[in-house]
Amino acid sequence: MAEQSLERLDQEITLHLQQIDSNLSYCFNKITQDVIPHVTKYGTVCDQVMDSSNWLKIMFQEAGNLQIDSVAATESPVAASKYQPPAETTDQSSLQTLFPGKPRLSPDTSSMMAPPIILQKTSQTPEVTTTTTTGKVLQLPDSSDDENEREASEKNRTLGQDPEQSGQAEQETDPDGSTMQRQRRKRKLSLLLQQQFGSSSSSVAPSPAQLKRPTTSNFDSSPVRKDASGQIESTKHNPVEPGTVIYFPTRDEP
Amino acid sequence: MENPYEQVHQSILSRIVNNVERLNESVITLNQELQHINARNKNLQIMGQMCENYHKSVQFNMSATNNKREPL
Repeated sequence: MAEQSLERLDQEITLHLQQIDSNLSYCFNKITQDVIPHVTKYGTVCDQVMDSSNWLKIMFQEAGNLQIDSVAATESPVAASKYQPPAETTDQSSLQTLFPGKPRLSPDTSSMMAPPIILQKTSQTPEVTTTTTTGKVLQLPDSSDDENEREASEKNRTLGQDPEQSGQAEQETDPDGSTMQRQRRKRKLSLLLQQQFGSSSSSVAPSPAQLKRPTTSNFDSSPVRKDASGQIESTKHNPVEPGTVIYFPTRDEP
Repeated sequence: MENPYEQVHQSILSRIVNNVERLNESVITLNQELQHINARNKNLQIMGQMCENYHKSVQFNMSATNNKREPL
């Protein structure tokens, strides 16, 4: 009586173990074959959305004179340390409350919420320079200065001067030129980064999982299951009633 | 007396361990994919918030300056 119950218990244990095993393999197959491809597809779709709404990002960046670089922040932390400082100086500063990750401007610059026309007038007054947490100097965007600077640089280019000299000339003509140059450089770099990411995302390489899985997904590691002819969910489809004696071939047996 | 089921149990258990390892790997890859997608979507989220806030501030300014009108 006791032996019978023991054997029965053993069989039930094996059955349950097999069920656990089949469930696990079912999970694995589901994730590798169903979930991951769909997730990658979703990623490509998201990239397309991001690409097509890239003009909006550029518009916001130009309007607010700030950098939207969360992608760079996550994928290249070294570069992110360069590009992270937000240089928002215009009416976008009112929006910054929603982005807790970015440091706010000091209250001195609260007047910058005024429209840009007034900004040009106020920029004539002693400059309100604020430093971010990273030590970068925030500067009001002055459109007239910007144009002057561009004209000066263009003139210098047409004159065939050295870039260093032209930079010096810019600095002489416009004390704000250094910060403006820095901002512009940052913008260019971020755009380059974006292009890189966009190009890399548009041609999404199959994930290592996809590359790996097809070769490994069908192997049957168990000697127990070899007689099941590669069916991974054999215990699911062929449930054995408890009480029946199952013969399990093991490795030692010929 | 040696239990004949012990070997079977051991083999199934080893197989289960194998499966769990593979499952763990695939879950890790899935997590990586999701992290990438999240990182890429952050810009989109920020822009959405900007649009929303712009809309709100425009509405507030219009109503404050009494320039708000009904849609045509």
